[in-house]
Amino acid sequence: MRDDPTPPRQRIVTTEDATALLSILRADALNEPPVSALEHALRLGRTLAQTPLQSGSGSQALTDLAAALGAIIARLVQPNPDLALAGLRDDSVASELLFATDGLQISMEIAPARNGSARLIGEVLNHTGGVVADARIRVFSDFSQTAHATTTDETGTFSLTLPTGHWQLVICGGEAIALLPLTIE
Amino acid sequence: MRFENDQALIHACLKGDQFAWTDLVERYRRLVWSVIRQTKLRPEDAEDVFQQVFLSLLRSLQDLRETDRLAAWLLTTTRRACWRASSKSSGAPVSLEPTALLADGTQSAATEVELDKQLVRDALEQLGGKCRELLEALFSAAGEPSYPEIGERLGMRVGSIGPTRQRCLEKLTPILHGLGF
Repeated sequence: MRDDPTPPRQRIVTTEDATALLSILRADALNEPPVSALEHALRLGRTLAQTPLQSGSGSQALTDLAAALGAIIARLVQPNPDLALAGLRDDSVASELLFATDGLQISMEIAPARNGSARLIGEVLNHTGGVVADARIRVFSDFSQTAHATTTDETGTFSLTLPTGHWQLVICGGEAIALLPLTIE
Repeated sequence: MRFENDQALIHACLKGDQFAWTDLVERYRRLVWSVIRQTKLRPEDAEDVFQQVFLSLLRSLQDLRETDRLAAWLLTTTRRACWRASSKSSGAPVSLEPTALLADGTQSAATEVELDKQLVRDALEQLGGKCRELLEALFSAAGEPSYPEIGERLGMRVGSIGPTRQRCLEKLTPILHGLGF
């Protein structure tokens, strides 16, 4: 950020000066963002103390997670047979990822990238292990616009096809939100 | 206001303080939304941009921790996000300046106005209490303020609004002065 010279401002000395300056706020009350947008932005703060965890070694990953977050309700999400879609489960080296936040548990399987993109299948559970339907999944690249978006179905699962690269997944389910960095190689 | 300045807020956020993040979002929500509103994006795109800007902020906190120019950074980030969203939906970018700084390093007039507005909002935040409510009601409304309506909303007699307004302005003046006006 540059230290450019700040142009001189009108000097506020009297209450009349202050009154004149306050007039620039006329209609500022209309600048309130929608409640839903504000809530989503506020919920991002929950991720500040959140440590995303890549799980290749289930129980150790959970131990690390619990240590990082303190008391947390989490369980190892067993591979769901329903997620074994043709072409994915056949890839024995598919990555299995497990994340947990204070309100969501997310498991994902990512097939190895082919032709520059990879299929990602995930399941979203709440802290009691119940499926979260209609959770919103948005995928951002850094400093860019929404690249992909989807929602979970009634079984709490979602699928996406993402190009290789670095991504940020924002998953909103009920009152909980998770922010997950993800790299597709 | 719990945090003295943006640097204190950012440092607290980096330590995992969610309340600091809430303060940060609350402080700058109108600045970000005012820029988004100017672009006339579709409502769903506008909400996306709002979320993207704060997501970018979240991911950039580490780089911003020594800055005292957060408002300018947010302006630039919001304008760029609006450009991208507009280009994506209509194929033609909106006519907003892409950056908060001009090529010669100075700020454009539009940017100056937005940053001044933010400082006045900050001043009202520092003022706090009933004075803040009253001055916001008098000066932030879309149309001409109605004393009877304001009196009813704030639980004040109409006859006391004028004198209270004057006392509040007397308190606000040194705050504005302290913020560089």
